Amino acid sequence: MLKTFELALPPFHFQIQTDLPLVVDNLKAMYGHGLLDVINGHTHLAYIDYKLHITHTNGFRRFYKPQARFKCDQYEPFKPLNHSQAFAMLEWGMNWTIASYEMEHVVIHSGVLARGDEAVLFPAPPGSGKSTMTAHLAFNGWRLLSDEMALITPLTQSVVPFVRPICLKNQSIALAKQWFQDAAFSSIAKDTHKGDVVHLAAPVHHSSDLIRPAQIKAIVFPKFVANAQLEIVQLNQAQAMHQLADNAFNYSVLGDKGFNTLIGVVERSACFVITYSDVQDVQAFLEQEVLSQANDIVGEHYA
Amino acid sequence: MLIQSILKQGVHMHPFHDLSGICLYNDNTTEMVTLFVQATHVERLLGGQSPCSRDERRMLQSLEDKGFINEHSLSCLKHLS
Repeated sequence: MLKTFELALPPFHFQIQTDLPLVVDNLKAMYGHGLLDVINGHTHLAYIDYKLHITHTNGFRRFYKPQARFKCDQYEPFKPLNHSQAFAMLEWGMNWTIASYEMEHVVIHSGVLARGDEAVLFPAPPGSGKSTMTAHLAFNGWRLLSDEMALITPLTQSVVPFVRPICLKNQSIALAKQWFQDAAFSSIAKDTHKGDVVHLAAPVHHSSDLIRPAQIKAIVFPKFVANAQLEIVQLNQAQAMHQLADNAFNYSVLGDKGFNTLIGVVERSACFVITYSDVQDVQAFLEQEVLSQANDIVGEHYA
Repeated sequence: MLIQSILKQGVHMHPFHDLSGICLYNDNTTEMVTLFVQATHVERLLGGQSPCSRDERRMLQSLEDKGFINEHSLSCLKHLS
């Protein structure tokens, strides 16, 4: 049976329709009170930004090796996947939706965490250990704004939260289950194109965590290398811009506003590449070095 | 020669505060490039005051080909012997 939910996930409102029990169970586990049941057409939110569907494929494939298909406002960006991967597909579909359609913010493929209201961006390609590091920090005194995309208000240093589950892959799944035994995990999506995937519900300590912006103070490009000592390389602004632009989705659509936003972020941030194997080393580096240096840079810039 | 004078209309330039380079954004094509040289160095090359290496020549030619700088801006280049 097709069920409809509304999901208030600041700064967006989603409507999600699904006939897959696996998706319903995982949505409830991951989003808790933010997920609102639409019964008999009775809606809760004043408006919807995006209408998403994740449903069984029709016909014969509903019974033989069943598949799930994702649609955003009737557009189907991906080929169907095995129905056991449906929740992961919905999460990826939400990423695709924002990356493709969001024009109010400059969108960067990046983890974002804040200490108080001082944010650090972690732009990185898949396989860099970004999500494992994000999960560790989010459960150890840092505020998660996003595991996947930074939404920057144009022409400011302000990044707004888009708090979603953290996507863990392969070996990091067992590690996270060992670290965070009381946390909520989604069911496992096996053998996806990223390997085995599990989502970890984001820790939200205060309701304001979902809406309170933070100011970008630093950009750290992380790279996980097994057994490596922490290695830190400070980037100059041209190097940082070069790498940041590689991870930016929509600056070209926003025109000079997007360009000037990226420039402003780079000019006012401390920028590093780090190679690491121990997330605790990274946390110490961020807290003892990065944020203090970042504040010096901001002071110097405005001096 | 000032670099601004040879940028095509719709091309924005930002010289980084730490002098590590410049960034150009072309509004017409939405392409962005980062150059790891200062604007003054590019100006000296284009004005013929500094000789131009093969890599620098390639970089400037690429800027012309991609529509960041006006055609015929490279006429004054002095080649490194």
